[in-house]
Amino acid sequence: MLIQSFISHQWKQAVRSPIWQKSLAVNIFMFIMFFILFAEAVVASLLIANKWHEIVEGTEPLFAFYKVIAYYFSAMFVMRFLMQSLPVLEIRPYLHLPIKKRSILHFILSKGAINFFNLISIIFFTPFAYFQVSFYYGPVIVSLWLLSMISIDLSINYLVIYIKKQMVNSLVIVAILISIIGLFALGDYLKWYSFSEKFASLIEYLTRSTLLLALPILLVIVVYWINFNFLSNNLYLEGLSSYTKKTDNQIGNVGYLKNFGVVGEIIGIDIKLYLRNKRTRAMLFLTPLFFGYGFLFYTNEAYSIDGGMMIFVGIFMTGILMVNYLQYAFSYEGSYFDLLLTSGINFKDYLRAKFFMASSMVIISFIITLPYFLFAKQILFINTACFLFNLGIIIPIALYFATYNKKSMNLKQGSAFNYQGVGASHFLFLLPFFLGPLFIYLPFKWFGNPNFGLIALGTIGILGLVFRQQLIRVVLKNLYERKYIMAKGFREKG
Amino acid sequence: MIQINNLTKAYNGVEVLNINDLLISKGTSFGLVGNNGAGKTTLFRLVLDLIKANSGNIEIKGQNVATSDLWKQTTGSFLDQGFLIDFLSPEEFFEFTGKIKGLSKDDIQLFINDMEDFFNSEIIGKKKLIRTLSMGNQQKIGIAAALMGNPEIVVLDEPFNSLDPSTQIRLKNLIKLKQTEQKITFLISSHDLNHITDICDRIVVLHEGKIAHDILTGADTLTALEDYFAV
Repeated sequence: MLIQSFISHQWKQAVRSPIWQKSLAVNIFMFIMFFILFAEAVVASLLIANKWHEIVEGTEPLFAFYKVIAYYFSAMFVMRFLMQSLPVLEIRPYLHLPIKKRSILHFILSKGAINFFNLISIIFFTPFAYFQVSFYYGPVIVSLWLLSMISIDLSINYLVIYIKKQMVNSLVIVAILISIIGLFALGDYLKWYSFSEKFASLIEYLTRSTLLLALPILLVIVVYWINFNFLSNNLYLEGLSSYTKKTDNQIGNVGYLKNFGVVGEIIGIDIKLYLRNKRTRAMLFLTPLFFGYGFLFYTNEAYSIDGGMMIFVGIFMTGILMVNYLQYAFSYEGSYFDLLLTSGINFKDYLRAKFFMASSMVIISFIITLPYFLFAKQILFINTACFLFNLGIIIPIALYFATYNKKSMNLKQGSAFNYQGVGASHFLFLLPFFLGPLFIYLPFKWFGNPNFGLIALGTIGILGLVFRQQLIRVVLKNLYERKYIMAKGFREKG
Repeated sequence: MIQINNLTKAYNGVEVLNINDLLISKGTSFGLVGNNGAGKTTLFRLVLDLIKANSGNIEIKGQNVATSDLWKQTTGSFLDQGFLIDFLSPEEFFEFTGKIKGLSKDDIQLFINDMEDFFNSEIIGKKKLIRTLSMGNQQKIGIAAALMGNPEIVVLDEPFNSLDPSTQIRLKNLIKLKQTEQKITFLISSHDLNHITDICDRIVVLHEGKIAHDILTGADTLTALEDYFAV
């Protein structure tokens, strides 16, 4: 009975969540995107599992796989640490009711097992069990093997939950974890010390007997039990609310900004906003991924043949950080937009601060992605043209369209796959961002010299910089016209 | 100081506010009372140009609030949590607001020291972010920030809400002090008839968006108001 009403409440919470209360088109788009990602993951996993013995030819396939999963589990550990938390706050309405604490605890802990990461593990291991492991063992052992692998993953799941409840400063822990894993990887690469081989030997040792293979399952139970005990001793309201640590107070204090007057103050607030809120912090952690995309694009020959694709990549690499920032430039500040409107901040100063932040991001992105020219010299010219175009043209356009985003962001809710506050205008904006530069470049490429296309892109970008004051005025006018609509939207908390 | 002309505001075709003519002169402390939905917050938001009027206009010192920004430098306001930046510490928030209002670092420190009695040592030096403070303490910060930078007009929407009894009394004393010392024009709404008659010299009762009564506070004002709201 009790579990039923818990589940029903959870279901209602999910269905009635404001995430769904936006246009049907956006929901369909999101669904298709997720479906494609999901399908791709399944297909890739099936293909790799099927051909694994050919991919690692010459070595023992299972042992090679165990070496891979050593890093898979490490990566999972870090990812979970960054993105996952026990949804303890949701039980607040139940704590004062005459419900047994044990039932509440079992419920939230089992709910902690149902998440995105565990789904990844199932997709990752099942095909491998089917194609590879079954080659060596009978069906009972194969099932046990699969169960065992998923159990290790689940143990990590509960271990992360436990550590996160214990530790105060998870950011430092993550930094340490990443360094340790990095050291292991380096040791492997330089053949000093092979962490993956040690791990692979351990897993192989487990597979030698049915009894040993069942050990990870026991491990899940133990970690679950430790969590349960800890929570039942600490399940009080004060322990649950998200009290911020004292050190938070100092994060984001940038002294020299004070010399910039009001614009500096606004930039200071922006930086603090990014560093002190869950959602924006998660975004910051994902940015290295964006820069890493270059390895995907530039190492693929198909992209270097067609110049058009390279423009797309160049715009993406030098601009995605800025676009991510500017799209939400106002809606991240939605919770105090009324203050900004009444406090007497000069809106021109306000926009200048945004331009400054966005320009810094484009410049930093450009510098970070500069070394990619080692793959091909052409990348240097393409990215410079794209950099100028982003700086001069895309920034004002993005800021102009940002005023159409009138959904307030809940910054306290974390992380990836959080689409609260994301509206249709976001996707609309991505079109000119990706297609605009192509429309300028492609005619030159088709009817003559593609280098002229690059020069055109760069020149238009420089023109945007020259007329920046005028562009700021256009954005300012739009902001004045839109401010009532924006303020009204921001007041309706999602 | 504040002049309201033929002001109307409607949501989805339903009129929520209709004020023909209202003049609030300098140094008045203007109280606004009325049941929920009477239009108090709507009026304040219109005064602060946070929403757009359907017709009419509001002038502060002769300047239309919807077309000028100058009045913002001399107007302090605190309506709700939307006037706080909750991921800042109180000190950082005062510094930000102070800088916007053109105060120097010393001015800001002086202001914070002045407010220490009102804060009752619960705000400054606690090394906490605003979002972790209680509602009452957040309210104190918002009210204090509205008073920064020698404003001529201060707009406060239900300032006594969620304040503890002692702080309510401190706030009343603070408002009276600012009135006599700096001749600030206060616009205050409240559900507490006692408080509002105590601090305001003019009280307007709103009913369904219209001015039902416009009273200069006297000895019998409280009884009159209590009679008006009696069920």
